[in-house]
Amino acid sequence: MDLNFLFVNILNGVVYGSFLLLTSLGLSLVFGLGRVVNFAHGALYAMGGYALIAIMHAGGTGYWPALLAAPLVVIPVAMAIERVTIDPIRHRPDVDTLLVTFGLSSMIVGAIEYVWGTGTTLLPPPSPFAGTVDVLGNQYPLYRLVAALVSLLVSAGVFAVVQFTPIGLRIRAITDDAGMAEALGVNVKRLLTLVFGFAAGLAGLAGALGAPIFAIHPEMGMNILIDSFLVVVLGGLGSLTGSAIGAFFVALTKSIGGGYFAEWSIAFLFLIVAAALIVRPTGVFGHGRVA
Amino acid sequence: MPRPYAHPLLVVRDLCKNFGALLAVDGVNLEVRDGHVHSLIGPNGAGKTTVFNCISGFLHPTGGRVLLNGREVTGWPPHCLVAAGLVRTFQITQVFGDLTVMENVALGVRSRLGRNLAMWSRAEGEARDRAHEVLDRLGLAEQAHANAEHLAHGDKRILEIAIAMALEPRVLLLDEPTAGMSPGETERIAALIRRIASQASVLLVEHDMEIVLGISDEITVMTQGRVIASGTPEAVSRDPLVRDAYLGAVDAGAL
Amino acid sequence: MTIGEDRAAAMQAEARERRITSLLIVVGAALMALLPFVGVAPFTITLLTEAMIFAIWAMSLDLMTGYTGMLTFGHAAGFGLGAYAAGYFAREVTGDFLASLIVSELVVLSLALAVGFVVTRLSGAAFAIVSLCVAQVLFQVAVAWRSVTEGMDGLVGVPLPKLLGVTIHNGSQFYLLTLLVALIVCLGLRALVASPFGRTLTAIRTNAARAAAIGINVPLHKWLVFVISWAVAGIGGTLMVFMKAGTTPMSLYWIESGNVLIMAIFGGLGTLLGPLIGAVAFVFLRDALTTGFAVWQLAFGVVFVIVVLLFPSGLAGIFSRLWMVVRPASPARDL
Repeated sequence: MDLNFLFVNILNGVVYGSFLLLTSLGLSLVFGLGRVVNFAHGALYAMGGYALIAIMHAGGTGYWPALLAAPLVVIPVAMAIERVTIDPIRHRPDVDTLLVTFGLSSMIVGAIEYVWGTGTTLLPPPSPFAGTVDVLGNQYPLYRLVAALVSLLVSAGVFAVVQFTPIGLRIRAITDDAGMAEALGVNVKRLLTLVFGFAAGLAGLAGALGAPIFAIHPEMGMNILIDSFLVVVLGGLGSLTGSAIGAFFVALTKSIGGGYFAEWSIAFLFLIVAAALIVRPTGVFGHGRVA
Repeated sequence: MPRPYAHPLLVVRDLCKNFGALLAVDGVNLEVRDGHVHSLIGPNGAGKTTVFNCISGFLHPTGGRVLLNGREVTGWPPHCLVAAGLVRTFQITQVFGDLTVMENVALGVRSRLGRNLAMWSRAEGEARDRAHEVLDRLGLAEQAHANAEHLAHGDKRILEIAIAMALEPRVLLLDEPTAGMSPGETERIAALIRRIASQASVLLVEHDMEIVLGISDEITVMTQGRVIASGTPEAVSRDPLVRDAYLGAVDAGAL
Repeated sequence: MTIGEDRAAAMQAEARERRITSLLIVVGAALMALLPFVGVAPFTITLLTEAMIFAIWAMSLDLMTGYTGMLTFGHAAGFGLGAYAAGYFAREVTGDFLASLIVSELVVLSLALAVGFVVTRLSGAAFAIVSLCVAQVLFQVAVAWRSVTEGMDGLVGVPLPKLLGVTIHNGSQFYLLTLLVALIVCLGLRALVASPFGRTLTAIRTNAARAAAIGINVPLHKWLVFVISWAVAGIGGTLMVFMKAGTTPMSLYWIESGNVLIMAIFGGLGTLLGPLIGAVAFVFLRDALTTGFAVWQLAFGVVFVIVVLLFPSGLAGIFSRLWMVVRPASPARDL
C-alpha cells in the first residue's frame, strides 16, 4: 500500500470536490427554487472557461482580473436565457425544462466549438502560485490548493447568503413552498431569474478557476455536469448541506477508487446513485424535494 | 327501492390517516349497503376526500380496515380494487383529453374484459359495441366521436361516470359529481345516480345538501376528520350537531 | 343512417385507412429495395442503411417516450448493449446473423427485465436521470472491462454476417437485410400500438393515476414497455455492429442518447412513422453538415429549443398537433 499514492489521490479528490461543490450548489439552488433541472449547467461552466481565455487574449490582462470578469460575462447571458426560454414554460411538466436546457447545452457548446474549434487549450497556472509545494513529503501543485481554497470560500459564502440574508430567507421560503411565498408578496419570477444567473455565475467561476487545472475544451463541462447530477441526487435536490457532503463523496470515490479500480469505480458510483434515487428519492445525504 | 336490511358491500372500520402531525381522518366508520346510495358530506377540510383516497387505494391508511364484500382490501392498489369491483371517479374531471368520448369508455370496457395485456389483437369490435351501449345508457351516444376535451363541463362529468360504469363496478365511489354544475345539469346527474343504484351501490362525496337529501338512502356527516352523525336523511337533517356544522348552509325549508 | 349503421361505417373507414397506411409502408419498402439497382450511389445506400438502423432505434424510443410518456436520457443503453453482445458473439462463436441476434436479444432482455423492474417505479425527471445513470454505468463497464470489450479501443474484428449460410456483404446486400428488419419492426410496432395493450400506454401517458383507477396495472405496463423498448433498440444495435464490423463505448455515451431523442422529437413523438422520418433526416443532415460540425450542434440546439418551446402542451402537444397535421380531412377520429 503506497501511502503517498493514496494521499495524492485524496488530495486530488478534495480539490475536485471543492469544484464539484461549487457547481452542485448552483444546480441545487435552481432546482430547489424553480424545479428546473438545468442540463445546461455544464455548458455554462465551459462558458466560464472560454470567457476567461477570451478576456485574457482580447483584453491583454493577466489571469486574476480575467478570473473576476469571466463570471460577469456568464451571468447576464444566463439571465437572458432564463427569461427567454425557461420562464415561459415554467408551468409545464419538469421534463420540458429538462429538454429545453438540454437543447441549450447543445447550442452553447456548439457556439463555443464554432468560435474556438474543437481543440484543447492548456493554461499554465498563474504566476504567484505556479510551483509545487511540499505536502507531507509529496510535491503537489500549489495552484490546485489555492483554487480549492477559493472554491471552498465562495461556497461558504453561498451558504452564508442563503442562511443569513433576507434574500436567502426568501429563497428558503420558496424552496419550501412556492405558493405560500407568492402569497407573501415575494416576486418569484424575478428571484428565479436572479438565482439562475447567480448559479450560472458560480458555474462560470468554477470553469474559469479550474481552467489551469483541468484544461479547456468545448466539452469540458460535460463530465462535471454528470457528476453534479450525481451529487445533487445523493444530497437531495434543493438541499445545500446534502450537496456539500455529496460533492466530496463523489469526488473522493472517483479519485481514490479511480486510482485503484480505474473505471470500475465510476461504474460503481453510478450504480450507487441510481440505487439511492430509487430507494430515497429525496436524497441520501440531505433532505430535498423529490426529483 | 332501497332495501334497509341489505347486506353491507363496503365496510370501513376505524379508518385513520395522518400526514405527519396532522390527523386528517380519525376513526371513521361507515357501511354502504347493497343497492344503496350513501352520501358522505361535511364542510371543507372535513377529511372526506382523504377517506375516499384511502378507500380507493390512492393513499395508504395509517390505521383501520376497508372490506369489500367481506374481503379485506385495505391498502390495495387502485387497479386491484377495480378488478374486485370498486371504482371511483375524480373531483377534478380527468377524462383522457386527447381521445374521443367512445375511446375513453372503450378503455374501461377493455379493462373489464381483462384485455389490458393483449398485445396481438385489434382493439375493436366487442369493446366498442359495449362502449356504445354504456354511452347510450348515459345519454352521450351522440357525442361518441367527439374529442373528450371539447365536451361541456356537465357532459365531461357524465363521461367520467360512463367510464366508471364500463368497469361494471359493484361499488361506485363518486367524488363530488355535481361540482361546478348548473342546476339543470345537477338534476340530470342526480337522476343518473338514482338509476345507477339499481346496478351498483354508490358512495358519494358531496357538498350540496339538497342533492344529498334528495337521493341518499343513508348519510354520513363528517367534520374535522370525525363522523358526527350517520343515518337516514330524515334522522341526519334533524340532528343538532349536523345543523351546527352546517350553520347557514341549510335551508330551513328543505328539512 | 341509423346510429348502428353510422358506427359500422366509421369503423370500416378506419380499418381501411389503417390497412392503406400499412400497404403504403410495404410499397415504400419495396421501392426502397429497388434503389441499389437503379443507379443510386453506394454511399447513399450506406447512409440509408444507417438511417434504417437509427429508425429502428428511434421507433423503440417512441414506444417508451412518445406513447407511454417515459422520457429517457439513457436510450443508448439497449442499443449499445445489443451491439456489444452481438459483436462479441459473432466474433467469438459464429457470424450467423440470426444466432447473433438471438444471443444479443437474450442479453438485452435479461438486463432490461432486471433494471426495468426497479427503474420503472420512478417517473418524470427522476426516471430520465436514472436512465442516464444506467447508460453511463454500461458505458463505464464497456470502458473498464477490457478483457471482453477491449475498453476505449472498442470491439473490432466482427465478421460479416451470414444468413442461412450465405454471407451478407456490405453495400446493397446488407442494405436489403436492414430494410427487411426495419420493415418487420415497423409493422410489428404498429400492430402493438393498435392493440389493447397499446391503448393502455396512451392512457398511462395522458394520466397515469386515472389509468390506474380504470384498472390498468401501471407499474406492470411500464415495465413491459421498458423491456420491449430495450429489446427493439437491441435489434438496432445488432445491425449496427455488423454494419461497422465493431463498436466502441461511445455507442453507450449520453450524447448518443441525446441524438436518438432528437430524431424522435423532431420526427414527431407518438406517431412511430415520425421518428422513422426523423432518423432519416438526422442521418442525411448530419452528413451534409459534417464540414461544420460545430454549426451542426449549434443549429440543432437552436431548433431543438424552438421545437420544445413552441408546443404549449409540451411532449403531449407535439404528437397531437402532428396527428392533426397528418389527418386533416377527417372528423374527430377514434385512434
